[in-house]
Amino acid sequence: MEIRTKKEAHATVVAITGRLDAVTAPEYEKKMQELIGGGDIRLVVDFEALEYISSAGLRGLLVTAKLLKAKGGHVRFANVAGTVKEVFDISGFGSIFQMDATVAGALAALS
Amino acid sequence: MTASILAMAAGTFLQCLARSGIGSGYLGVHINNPVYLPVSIQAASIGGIGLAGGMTVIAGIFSAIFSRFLPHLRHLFPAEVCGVGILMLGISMVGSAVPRLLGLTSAGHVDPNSVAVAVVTLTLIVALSIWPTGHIRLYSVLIGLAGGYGTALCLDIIDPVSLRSVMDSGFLALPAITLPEWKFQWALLIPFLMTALVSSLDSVAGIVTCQKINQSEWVRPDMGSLGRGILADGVGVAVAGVLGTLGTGVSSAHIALSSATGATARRIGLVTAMLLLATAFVPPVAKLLSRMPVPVIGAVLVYAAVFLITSGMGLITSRMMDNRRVFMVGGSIVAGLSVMQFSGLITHSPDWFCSIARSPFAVASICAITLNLLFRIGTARNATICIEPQLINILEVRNFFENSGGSWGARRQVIQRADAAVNELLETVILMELASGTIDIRARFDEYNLDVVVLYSGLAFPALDQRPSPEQLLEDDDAVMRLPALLIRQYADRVNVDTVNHQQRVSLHFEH
Repeated sequence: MEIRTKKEAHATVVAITGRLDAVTAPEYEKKMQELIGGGDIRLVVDFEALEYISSAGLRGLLVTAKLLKAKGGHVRFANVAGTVKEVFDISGFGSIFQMDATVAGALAALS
Repeated sequence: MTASILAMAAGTFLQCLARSGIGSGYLGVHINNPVYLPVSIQAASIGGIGLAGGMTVIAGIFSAIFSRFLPHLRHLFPAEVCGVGILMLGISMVGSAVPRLLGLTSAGHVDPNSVAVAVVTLTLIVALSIWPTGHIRLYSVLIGLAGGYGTALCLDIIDPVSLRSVMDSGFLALPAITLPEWKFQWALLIPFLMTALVSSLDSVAGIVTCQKINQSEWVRPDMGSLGRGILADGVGVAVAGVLGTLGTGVSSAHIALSSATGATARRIGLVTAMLLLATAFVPPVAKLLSRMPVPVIGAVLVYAAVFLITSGMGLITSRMMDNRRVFMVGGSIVAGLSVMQFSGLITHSPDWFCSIARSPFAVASICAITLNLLFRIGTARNATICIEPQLINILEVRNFFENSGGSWGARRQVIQRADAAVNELLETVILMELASGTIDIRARFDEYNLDVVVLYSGLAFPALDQRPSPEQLLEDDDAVMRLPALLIRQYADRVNVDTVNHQQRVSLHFEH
């Protein structure tokens, strides 16, 4: 898994590439904790290049979302599609998180 | 000509009717199959039309018998083998399509008028099958043909006088058929049987294409429908022999056009058969068709080739590939292309052999079937991997599924589902420290099923599959632990959790 971040005007975009599973979820959680600890509390997570997510990956998303909520922040998910979208729908995560078709849409919603 | 039309009508009617165990039930128009040409000419030169007709009847009976065994020969025709055949059908059309399309002379010059006719025909067909919505797409080929005829008339590619002469024999006339005296010769038996086999393989590829274009979720050839289709094929060939004309077969060009236009209803085939029958009584129609401008034929063949090539590629790539399959697919295509490129290699071969060896489709198909059978040797349908309960070892399991799926030629989608389900299971077993020792993963594959069994000693896998509510997910950490079982049940078609020999067993079944 690879995580790239990019600061935009109103939020930070976190792009994830590869797999988000039990092996890689701790790395994701650590990166998100660093961002939130550094004051980046308006985040857009870009799933465009994410190939697979397991329930352990979902737990990672949930943990960081709870942390962000405690800090009064916001997170939106962009480009959730294909098998990743199926996992979101089956697990009910689709109704927990705010999702946008594009990163631009998510940034506009946070502005 | 009349005998040919009647034979085509009979074959098309049986193919589309699908009654009493005969006919595939798809829109498969029968035409005289050129693969019969060399052996039929040879037979006619030895013993006249009677011998050619008699031997063609034998070939038809052989195809009919072959059709009865076809449902038991499923392993000969996996999706990728059918894909190679269909791809080569498309590629082999290019050689006859392009010279017609360009109006190539023997000196290699391009005729600009022919190109203009072909461009008008092809542009009309392609444009009308892509952009318009509604029923006009169904008539794209018909409109393209009309445009081609019109342009050919304007550019003097067809003589208006020759068009007027189509009425010379009157509008209606009774078909004149002289049945030959059928003969048989042992020396021609093997050549005709081999030709019948190639013709049947040609029809197998055609009917598989029909199945694929009629089923959006096509997975594998339906051998029942194939068997009935080849029976219709055999009876059609026998009828052609009785009438003293060339053996018939399913026309792949027509199937490609049917796919491109979306006109796939078998009723169209039944109407086509009736129209063919009617043309035997209406000479002007047959004459008009026989005067179709050559560049128009070239344009239609190019259009058909495009669809067959992409359809074949789609079938090949629907399955996972390991080195065996790479060599089978690639090697067969190279063999077929070699025949096209170096036709001189078989110049001194016997005529009966040339009828097969000159056909890129026949060579590639026979090569693919043979290599597929050869490479099955040593391929285990069962595979096992044993890992220590550590997260890092899950990567080995992913490689295990990737390699096994490739050697089985399984559908990628099914292997990905199995991999995802086992990944969920292993993550849970390892993170919750349920296993007290190694974990065994056993997989068994056949064309219809993939069964995976995960065995370990320790605590049972919590197979709760009740979906937690959004509130529970946000507030209750334990609710998240229900997700693995929920996801596993979505990935697998059947899940069973039990204990065997003091070991925990999770059985996952996937339909393939």
